Amino acid sequence: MRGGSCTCELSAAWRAACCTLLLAGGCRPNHAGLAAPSPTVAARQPQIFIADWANHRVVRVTGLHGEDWTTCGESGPVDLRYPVGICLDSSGRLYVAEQEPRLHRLDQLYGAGWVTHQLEPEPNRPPNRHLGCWVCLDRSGRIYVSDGGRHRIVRIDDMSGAGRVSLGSAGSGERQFHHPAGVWVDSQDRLYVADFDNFRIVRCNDMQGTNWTELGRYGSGEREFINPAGICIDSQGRIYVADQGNDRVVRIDDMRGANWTTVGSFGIGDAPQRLYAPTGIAVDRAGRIYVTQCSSNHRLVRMDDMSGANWTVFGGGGVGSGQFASPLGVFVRE
Amino acid sequence: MTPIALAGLACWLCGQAAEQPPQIEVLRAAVGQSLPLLQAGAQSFRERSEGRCISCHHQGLILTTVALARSRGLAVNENLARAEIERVRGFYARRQQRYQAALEDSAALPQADPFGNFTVHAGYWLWGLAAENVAPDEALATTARLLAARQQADGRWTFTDTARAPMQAGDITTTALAAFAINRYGPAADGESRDERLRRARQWLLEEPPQTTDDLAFGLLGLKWTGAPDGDLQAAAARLRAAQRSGGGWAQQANMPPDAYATGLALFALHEGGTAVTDPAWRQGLSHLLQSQQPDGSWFVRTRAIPSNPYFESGFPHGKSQFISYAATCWATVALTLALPVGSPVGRE
Repeated sequence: MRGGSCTCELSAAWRAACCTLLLAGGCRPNHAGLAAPSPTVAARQPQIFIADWANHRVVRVTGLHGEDWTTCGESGPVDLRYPVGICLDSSGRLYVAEQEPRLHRLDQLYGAGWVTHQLEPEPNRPPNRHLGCWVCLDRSGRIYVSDGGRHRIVRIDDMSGAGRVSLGSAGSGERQFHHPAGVWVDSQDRLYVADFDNFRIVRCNDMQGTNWTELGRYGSGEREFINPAGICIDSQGRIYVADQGNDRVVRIDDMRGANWTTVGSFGIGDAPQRLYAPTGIAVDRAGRIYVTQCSSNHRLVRMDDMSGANWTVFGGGGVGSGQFASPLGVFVRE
Repeated sequence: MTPIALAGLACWLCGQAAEQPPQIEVLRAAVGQSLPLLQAGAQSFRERSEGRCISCHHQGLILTTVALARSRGLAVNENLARAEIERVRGFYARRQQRYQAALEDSAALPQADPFGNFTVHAGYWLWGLAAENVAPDEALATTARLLAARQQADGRWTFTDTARAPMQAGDITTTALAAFAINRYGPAADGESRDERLRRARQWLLEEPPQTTDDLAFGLLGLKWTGAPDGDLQAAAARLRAAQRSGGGWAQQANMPPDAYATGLALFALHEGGTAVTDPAWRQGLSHLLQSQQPDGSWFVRTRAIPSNPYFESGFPHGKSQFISYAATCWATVALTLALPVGSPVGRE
């Protein structure tokens, strides 16, 4: 992440090189619009959007070999600082939430239609030192952002900030969060939250916290999590959690934890079924699972299902094409 | 644990039931296992990181752990101890110009503190150097001046780097350690007196609500180190004692199980705050540590820090949890050592 408690001189050099490259670059190498993907590409592969946190950019690829690699944010018209959460609306517009509670919307990756909204314009606000802000939309296009540093979820109607309402305060009880991270809204507009430092996931019906339901406690067994980060729901309503501290992906049928299924265990590198700090998670219509790893694995993993079949790895640490620096949020557009 | 230590522990636990003081042999056996492992771990970290990294896990806590062990007459590898001291001193000597530049022009701060964690490592490491009675020099004074200058208007010290719970996670810990460091090594940075800085830090610590055991423990330490009156120390100690679990240990957070990191830290803080090592609650904490020591002499604590640096095996056990387990083993060793009599000749080599 930003550096960690280990003060690494190699990291400093790497960062310096990183900055040099980023300053020299722009949005590269392609400037394809979000709303009009290449028909041939779109027919073949879903588009994968990744928040490339420490490279201060978002990346779009159309396959796990880096096809149609397109980036935005490290320089040029769009200024991103530590992007965390990422999603698209039904019109294909891209939403990016940063480490600090700043939200962006772009019509196209090269910056057209770029709109920014500062969620918390507080000059003396302490820095958000945890897992940053994640974003998702409901069926009406309302925007939900997890404000981890303030232990709450914020919803706004649109990028003007209209209709702002928040849910949560610091704590571990009902309607409370401790550094909430991933957010998702299902087809019934129910809100799901990965409650990072409460070691649980939460579901509620609305921004009043109605029908507050929680699952999980600290641990590595069934119905247990260690710092869950990303969360998403598939077309069958099953819940997927990037169980970051347990280096595994969890899938459950419901908020009781039925059919608890996991894939992954700690490992460095590309070996199948090995994960290190899985953070962002997404599922496509075919049920394929996409997972980012914010650790030194710096990779995106895709698997066909929870058996880990066709385990495919893309990426590696760095600033170039096909490389990431602590990738976090991931979103798949089909 | 070794059979000897187990037998000793069983004997001591019987003694504890009768409110007898812990047997020195049991404590010596436990520390005799952990201390060499810690010193070797610091050396292998240095070697395997090929000089690239310096870590608060190893450099800050190991200095204090070794210094305390020496004060109790325990065998210490002095060559390794000196190497750790020089490693920290060298780090700050190499950065003296950058720190001086940041003192003269805040625009130079990003070069002095590229990751936003200067306040954290300066606090831990100067605290460790003080434990080793390292005399102030120009580089350390410059470091302390920059640390003083980083105090916020409300009295706290903070950081902008990503949190790495529990060691680098909250401003109470950072403030307590920074206050200690400037008190020991720092002249005033910008005309404000050291006493005034400590007063502002103390006031902030009194007003900031603790969330974690790190907050509770370093809140107590910070009040002690900033000269708070006895009433405030007793109130802070009572809050920390209230977080003790029935088994004698402390947890990092209310929703976690007890572990050696939180327990060792809590015992150290209570001791600094005036609790005697013969206090029944303090002894229960010690018992928790003795029972949870691993056969290799370490204590295992599961990591929950968001990983940020390239992974490598430092040579200390427990894989991806090696760094928090190292810190936990330091704190546990510190607590066990505190229960030994000062200047005990036992174990001196």
